[in-house]
Amino acid sequence: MVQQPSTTLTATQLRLQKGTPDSPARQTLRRFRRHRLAMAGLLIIIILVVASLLGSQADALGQNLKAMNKPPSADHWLGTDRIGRDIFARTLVGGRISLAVGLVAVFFSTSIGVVLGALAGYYRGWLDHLIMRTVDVVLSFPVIILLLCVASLVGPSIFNVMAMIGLLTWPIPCRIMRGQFLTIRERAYVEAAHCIGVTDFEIALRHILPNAIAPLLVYASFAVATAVLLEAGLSYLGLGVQPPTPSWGNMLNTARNISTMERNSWQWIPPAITTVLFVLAVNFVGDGIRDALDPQAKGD
Amino acid sequence: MGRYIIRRLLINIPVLFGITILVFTFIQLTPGDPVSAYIRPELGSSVEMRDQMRKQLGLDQPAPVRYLRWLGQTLQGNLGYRILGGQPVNATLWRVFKASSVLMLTALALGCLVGIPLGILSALRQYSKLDFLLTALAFLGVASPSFLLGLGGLFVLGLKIPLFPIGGMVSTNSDFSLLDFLHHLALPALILGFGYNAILMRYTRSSMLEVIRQAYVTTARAKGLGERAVIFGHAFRNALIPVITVIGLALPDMVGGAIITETVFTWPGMGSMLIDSVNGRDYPMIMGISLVVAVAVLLANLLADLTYALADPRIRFK
Repeated sequence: MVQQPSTTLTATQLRLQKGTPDSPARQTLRRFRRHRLAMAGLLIIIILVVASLLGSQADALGQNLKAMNKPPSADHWLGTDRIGRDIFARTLVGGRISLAVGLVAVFFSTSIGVVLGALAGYYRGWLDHLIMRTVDVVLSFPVIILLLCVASLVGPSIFNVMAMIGLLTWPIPCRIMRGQFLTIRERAYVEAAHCIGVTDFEIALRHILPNAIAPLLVYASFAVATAVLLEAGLSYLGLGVQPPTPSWGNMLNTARNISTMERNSWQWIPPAITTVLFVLAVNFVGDGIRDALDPQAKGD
Repeated sequence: MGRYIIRRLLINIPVLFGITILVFTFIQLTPGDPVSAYIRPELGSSVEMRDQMRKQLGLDQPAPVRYLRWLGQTLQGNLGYRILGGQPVNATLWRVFKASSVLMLTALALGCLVGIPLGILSALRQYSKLDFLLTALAFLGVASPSFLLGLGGLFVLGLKIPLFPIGGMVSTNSDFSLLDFLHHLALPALILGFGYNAILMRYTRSSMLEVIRQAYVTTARAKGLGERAVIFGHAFRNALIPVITVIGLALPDMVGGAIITETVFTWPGMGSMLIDSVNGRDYPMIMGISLVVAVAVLLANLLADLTYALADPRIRFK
């Protein structure tokens, strides 16, 4: 009896027959979508972002001296603070501030890190040494110590917090970028580009950078969480975002007073929970992005 | 090995100078006149008096001169006098350094003793319920900075169920006793340790997972070694190498976490002192603390590098 060829085709074979193989980007996206924790994290982030965009600035800043330090009720879902501002509205609007600080700070730090890392990795030599030793110096200090010193120097404000976190956290993306450039600059296609007379700038931008971006993306996703936590810590100490503007960090500042912490716990628990939830969600998403970009790093 | 040590040491010397220059520059740029903090308000402040004070404090010299003078004194172990109160920085720094070290080392020990074994367990039972639970806990530990955990811990275990004191290092109303001290130490150390624990667990797990797939582990199993000998004799020792580096690299973050956690528990260490000094513009104290922290971090990294080389011949002989 002659063996019949199998008539059932796998999904991949079908797709190949139709002539539409998955692009690497599509494969990455599919791997990301299959990562359950990452999808859950993404959902949490979307909810937090939408909620914080819906928050009412007027409610968050409007004082009501007849309703000071009120516990949660139908009027004020999460109670009021010591000058009668609605905690729910402040948590939402505070989220807007905290998330904006996080995103802008990471944008600053990644931009600086990419430029310096690319210069160090591409040109090597004394420039590389100078940049990398500077990185070593900055990395020897816990970021929060530098932040405290600079905060006392420039005075606290939203913009300063963003700029400071950005300016003091660039060494990590710089190191990542340098490492990528060091390896990729030796590839044959970079040499080929050199041979046909492409300028250094174009090579770095068009040939090396697109191939170096994956680990940077992973860094950036985790860094948003770090930046939000730094803002929270700084504002908790009273050196970050200043009242009356709410941020998750400066709402936590009320908990520095032990009796407020105990008796008016509704004033600091909501921002504490949203902060942890957001950071947790970002970590899940970051993990998902890492696994999706690098299938070999699975199970880590 | 000797050449490796010397190279690592040489690389660190410019970094050390960079640190001192950075610290000094920061402090020079700080606004506010330290002289104001030094003159008692009830004496009033005439221009002559301020000038005299400035001269007395050496603040009238140009910056490079002040830097070199400061560096010279620093190398001799003299960190000057505090602007608030006028005590030597040395003495205060030593006191807060001891307090911080006790807290951090206890937390680090707790983190290692719990985190590393749990990381191994988690790797050996990959994708089991236990692994899932531990990973979730580790995520929570990484996501909640120690000061938020500290606020939660203080609220629940210090105020609602008052098992632990709410702050300080010793009770003020009684003589010093070791038990009382440990009672104060327990909560902040546990909270801080939980964060370290999470980091170490994650790294031990992934490092262990990597090692366990290596050919030499299969060989060890194939030649009939017992599971215990395979795990501890072959896999664990190699898995530990990257973990050592991680402890060195994570140290700045750990110190950073400790700084805010200290203020939550009013632990009289370098963190609380730093915040007070920043608020009081106590330049010499800020300099002293930043310097000590940065040098400690540098030394820890060096130590990690050397341990790494000691444990891994591939690095030693490169």
